[in-house]
Formats: sequence, C-alpha cells, structure tokens
Amino acid sequence: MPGDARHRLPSLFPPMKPSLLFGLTVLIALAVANVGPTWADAAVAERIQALSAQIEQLPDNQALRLQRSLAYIENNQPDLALADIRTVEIQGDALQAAFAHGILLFQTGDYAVARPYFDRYLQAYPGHAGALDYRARLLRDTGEKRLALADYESLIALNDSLDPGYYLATARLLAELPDRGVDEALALLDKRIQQRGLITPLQRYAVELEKNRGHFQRAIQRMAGLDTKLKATPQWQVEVAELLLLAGKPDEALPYLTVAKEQLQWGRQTGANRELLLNVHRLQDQAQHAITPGTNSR
Amino acid sequence: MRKSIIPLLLITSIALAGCNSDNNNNNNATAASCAGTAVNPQRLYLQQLGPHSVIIKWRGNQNGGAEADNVCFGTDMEKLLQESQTTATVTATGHSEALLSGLQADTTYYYSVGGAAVADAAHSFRTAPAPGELPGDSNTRIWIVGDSGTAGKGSPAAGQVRDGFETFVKNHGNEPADLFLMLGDNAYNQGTDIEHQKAVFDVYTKLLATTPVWPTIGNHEMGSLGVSMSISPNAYAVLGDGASGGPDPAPDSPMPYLNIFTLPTDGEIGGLPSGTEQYYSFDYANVHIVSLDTQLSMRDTDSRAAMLQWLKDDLIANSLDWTIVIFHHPPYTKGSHDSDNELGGIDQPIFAIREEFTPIFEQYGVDLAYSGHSHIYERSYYIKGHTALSDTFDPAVNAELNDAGDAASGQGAEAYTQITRDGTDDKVVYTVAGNGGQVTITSAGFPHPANFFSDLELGSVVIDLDADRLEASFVDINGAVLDSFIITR
Repeated sequence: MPGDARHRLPSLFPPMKPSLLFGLTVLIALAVANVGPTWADAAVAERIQALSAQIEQLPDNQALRLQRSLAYIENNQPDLALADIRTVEIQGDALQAAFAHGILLFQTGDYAVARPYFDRYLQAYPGHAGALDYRARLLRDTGEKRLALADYESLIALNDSLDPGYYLATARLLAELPDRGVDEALALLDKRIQQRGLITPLQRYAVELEKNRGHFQRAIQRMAGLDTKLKATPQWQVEVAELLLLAGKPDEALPYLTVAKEQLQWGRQTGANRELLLNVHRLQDQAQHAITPGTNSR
Repeated sequence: MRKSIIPLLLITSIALAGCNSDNNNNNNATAASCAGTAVNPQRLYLQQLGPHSVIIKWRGNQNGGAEADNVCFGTDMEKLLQESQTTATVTATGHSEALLSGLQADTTYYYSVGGAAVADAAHSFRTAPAPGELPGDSNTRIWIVGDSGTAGKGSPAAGQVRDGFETFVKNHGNEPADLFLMLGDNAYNQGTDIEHQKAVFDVYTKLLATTPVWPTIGNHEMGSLGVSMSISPNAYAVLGDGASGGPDPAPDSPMPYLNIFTLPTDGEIGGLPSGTEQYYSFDYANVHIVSLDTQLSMRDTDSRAAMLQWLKDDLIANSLDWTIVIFHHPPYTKGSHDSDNELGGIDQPIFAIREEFTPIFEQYGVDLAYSGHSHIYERSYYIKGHTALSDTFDPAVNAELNDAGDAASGQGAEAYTQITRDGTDDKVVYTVAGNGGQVTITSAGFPHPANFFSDLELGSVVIDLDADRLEASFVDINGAVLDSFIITR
C-alpha cells in the first residue's frame, strides 16, 4: 500500500493541514446537525432537529421538551438540556421532569444535587428500576452505604438478569457495613453462583473476603470451586500456593509451584506468563526459605 | 433473554440417541419422516452454534398464518426424520427457540422450521469443529460489520456492504462465512425490536439462516434516555411516539437486544462463564472470541471491575491458537468519534477500554481487537502499551518495527508474527470497522498515529485463519480489498 494512500478521505475531503481539516469538519458537522459546537452523534442531532421542529408547532407540549432535554444530554449539551427541563418544571409536570433532571446532574457529576430529584421520582414510582439504578450508584459513590445497599437489594429483587457487577457492588456494601458483614456478603455471592453457575469475579471476591479475614483454608476451598478451565492454568496453581504460604504451609505450596513452572515451560509466551514465571521463582524461594531458612529452591 | 433450555436439551438428546446424525444410514429407509409444514418466519437466525449444538431462533410467519412451534433437522435434506423433531420454547417477546443438541462436529445439517420432511436448501448450518481442531477445509472465515443498523432509516448502505462481502466470497473460493460478528449500533436509532427487524433481519436474511451471529452492544442499542450514557438495561426507554417500537414487556428485559439475542452466560460454547449476556466468550475451531460490553458494564465501577476480572480469567483459561476481542467503543480513532475527547462522558468507554483493557489484551495473548462507533475504517499497526492520548504514540516504543526501524505494515515482507521481535506474544492489531452502514466525518488530528490505514469508505472486514496464518481484509462494497494484513504463528 503506497504511503500517501494509507489515510484516505473522499474527494469532498481533500488532504489538508490538520487545522484546516478540523475547521472544515466542524463546519460540516454543524451545518448537518444545526447544533452547537459540541456535536457528538449524527443520529442524536437528527433527533434534536426533529424534536425542535415539533416543539415549534406545539410549544406547550412538555413531553416533547422533556424528550429533547434527554437528547441534549446525550449530545453533550447540558445547558440546553437544563433549559428544557426548567421549562417543564415551571410550566408542566415537575415530577416527570425530576427523573430527567436527576440524570442530567448524575451525568455532570453533581451527585449531591441530583439525589433529591431521584428521591422525589422514586417516592412516586418506588419500583422504577431505571431511577433505582441511578440512585443506587449515586449513593454508593457518595458513601451513603446503607441507603445504597437498600437500592441495590431492591434492584436485585426486581430483576434476575443483572450483570455480576450488581452483585459485586452489593456484596462490597454488605461487607463494609458492620451490622451486615462478610458472612452476608458471602451468602449473597454463593446464592448468585448457585443460581447462575461459576461466575469467576464473584468467587474471586469471596476468596478475597476470606483471605482478608484470615480464613486461608476457606479461601483455598473457594479457589477449588473456580471453573475447571481456570483450575487447569498455572495462574491458579500460583494463587493457591500464595494462599498456602499465607496459611503457613510452605511445604504444601511447593508442589503447586512446581506444577505451575512445568505448565509455564510449555504455555503461551505471553507477557502475563513471563511475569507469572518470575512470581513462581519468588514464591519458591519464599517457600523454601520458610521450610529451611537460608536455602534457595533454584 | 435466555430461557431454561435444560428440559429441551434432555428431550433432544433422548430423541437423538438413536438417530444422532445417522440419517443417512440404512435404518433411515424405514424411519418415519417429519410430517409438518414448513414455515418461513419473519426472522430466522442461528445462535450459539458449537460442535454439538445450535439454537435455531425465529419469530413470525411471512405468510401470515400460525407460527411454527418445532424444527426437524438432519444431514439428509430430502428426509428429515420424525425423531429429530424438536419443540421450541417461546419467550416473552414471542421468539421461538429450539436447541438442537447431540450433533456431530464439523457436519452440515439441514432443518425445517415447522417440521417438514424436506428442508429448504437455504436452511442449513455446519456445526463447529471440535475445540482446537481445524474445520474440514482448514480455514475459518469470519465476517465482521460495525454500525450497520442504518437500513431502518432507509439507507441502502448496509445492503451494499453485504453485497460487497458476497462479491468478495465469490471471488475468493466461494467460501461462505463461518461466523458473523456485529460490532454494535446494529439497529438505529434506538435499538427497538422493529428497528432490529429492518436493520438486521431484513438485511442479512439469507446469511442469518445459515451462519451464527454473535453481536456486541452499541450505544444505539440502548434506546434514548440519555442514550449514549445509559448505565443499565433498566434504563432502556425510547423517545417519540413509539412508532419505531418501544421497550420490551416484562418479565423480559426492556432492552430488545437482550431478548432478540440468546447469548452464552455459562460458557456453553467454550470460554469462561460470564453470568451475563452483556459480555461473553466462545470458541470456534482454533479461535477464541470475546465480546465485551463497553456500553453498559463499562460505565459503572463495579460492573467494569467484574467484566475486567472475567476477561482476565477468560484469557488465562484460553489455550486456542488465535484470540479475537470485539466491543463497540474504539481505543484509537480519529473518525466521527475522537479517542482524545471524552465528550462530556459520552465516550468515557473509549478511555476505559484504552486505559484498563488494552493492557490486558496485550498481556494475555489477544491478537485482534475490533470495534465500531466511529463511522470509518481504521486499522492500527501491531501495537502495545499505548494507553494515553494520541500525541503520546511513539512507534519506536509502541509498534512492532520493520528492519528499517519503522512501524511495520503487516503486509508482504512486513507480515506480523504472533511472537513479536520482543520474543513475546505481546501486541494487538486494533481495527475500527464502524463503516458497515455509513461513513461520516473525521476528527481533529486525523489520522490517528497508531493507525496504519484509515478510509472513509463503506465496507466490512473478513478474517481468514488456519493453524499458522491469519489474514484480515477490509472489503469495500464492490468486493475489493482496500487494506489487509497478515499474522503468522
């Protein structure tokens, strides 16, 4: 491929200096989208145009204005979104505007200000999963752990298909609250694994919880509960060996490290495997030193 | 939304115990044929095709009559046996799913929706080879389209791209695709069920009846409630009067994508169980494919952490020859989206994928990464370690180099090798293929310095791979190859 033909634009876009190209790009984008200089997505720009035309015909239709506010949020135009939301709050149904206002403030990172809007909306619609979803994250991220936990638990009760992140978030909150604690967190993780199979991130968090409270043997048992494919890897052998060392069982750790080393000799030559081999050597030394101080395994 | 398929698996396994793909043997002369009537559904597609099973999924009846409730199948298209008849389960959104199991690997089967004795020649599939094995012809062909969902808006572009691929196939050994990957924004503007019909099922009808489709979630699959920044399927909602469709009914997810596609959550087709349809992995022959969710899971700290941990473990457990990752938001682009601009949070996933996920790809042996979102074709050098803004890209540090010390092209004498000059499998080629339904504009700073080739042309990607060699081609609407590169191992 000739060098000068490797980055091609249609004839409408002849090669030019980057600054000129940027200027032309922005001009065309603005012309097409008829929006401000933060144009993000042609489809959204089209939607804003269509909604604006409808609002011109039906200026009192607050639902249209609310829809446009959401499109403005998506188009990275928070000021225009806020203007539409304020209009609805003054002239229309402030309750309906509350959800959009909450989303706008959530997206701009104004969590403290966003919360009352979600509170208000959820007071009227307590089972609204979308609003619960936003508020749960907002509360978690602002340190309101108990309230966040309540929202996450409501979400889990509402929907059986949530991604593992919801269970991770809920388990973390449970583990951090003294009156709920690690046992409840582990019960939640185990229940989800029982429902959906061996979801590795959940089992790994369970291992971490057991490890952090010094229950190394239970952590090792949980490592044994990971997926068979994962248990066939040198990574797994090394992690079990690490736990055995923490449990004060260097003699039991060594065979796992030997297997890992053997596997790594034949495994893929990835960066991760190279690092793992270094780790195996380090742990072998550590184990050997623990068994016979002053010795080196290699 | 996936329904329980265990009872079906049992029924089908029992049914097939005596006939398991032996439809051509002597016993078939006396075995009873299926006696139903073929139905042409409005949408018909294959899900989770593996060596020993496949899900045939459909909805509607093009002739307006009753919908089919079963499938017959076999290796002899002229005689589908009664004992193969498999009853479908029906989901809340009216999709019928028939899980055919007990199949033989790398074998062509014919099927009839409605259970007729004779299959339509267009209704067939070839099971995957056994894991790690090559297909009978030694080559796996993968077709990839991104941001293709414009047909519902009246655009002919996705059809032109499809035609270009068909021309390519005709000119390259007539080998059809074994896998069809979609990179998100599959159905503009809001990913409603109706929009999926127009942009997916009405465009790729023939292909979908024979080839499994494996998608990933784009921002336009998420409706329109702050659409691009939606954080959960719970936030799915549509704007407008609902003329283009709305959320799906409970108890299914409101998000049509998750109900239309039946994706593995439990490692059904290889890969590590993800526990969610939002991201998953599977094996086909000697290639491992991962589909990440950069739209929803990526936007939340805990969901992202769970996905990242799963990815790491999935890649650790993978031992196949080649590894491909697909997701919607590209780490390196100067097309209609700019990977240097977070756009007020809209393109946060671009930063997250680059900063947190590309190091994992590179550390754990990923070969190729494909994304869309930017409506352009952009293909990178063979790179590693580039997690910051574009002006930090340094070929000497980040790219595989040729003998002259320049970034290697991947072409001719500069073909890449899986184990790079560093002696490690540590680099990835990143491709943006968001040009499957439209091409729009470029961003400031175009072209991205990490990219070897960029083109504002409609098109798609074809990957051909065997045991030792992989070739990825950018194919335009005329079937011409405008860019390609090779990796050997």
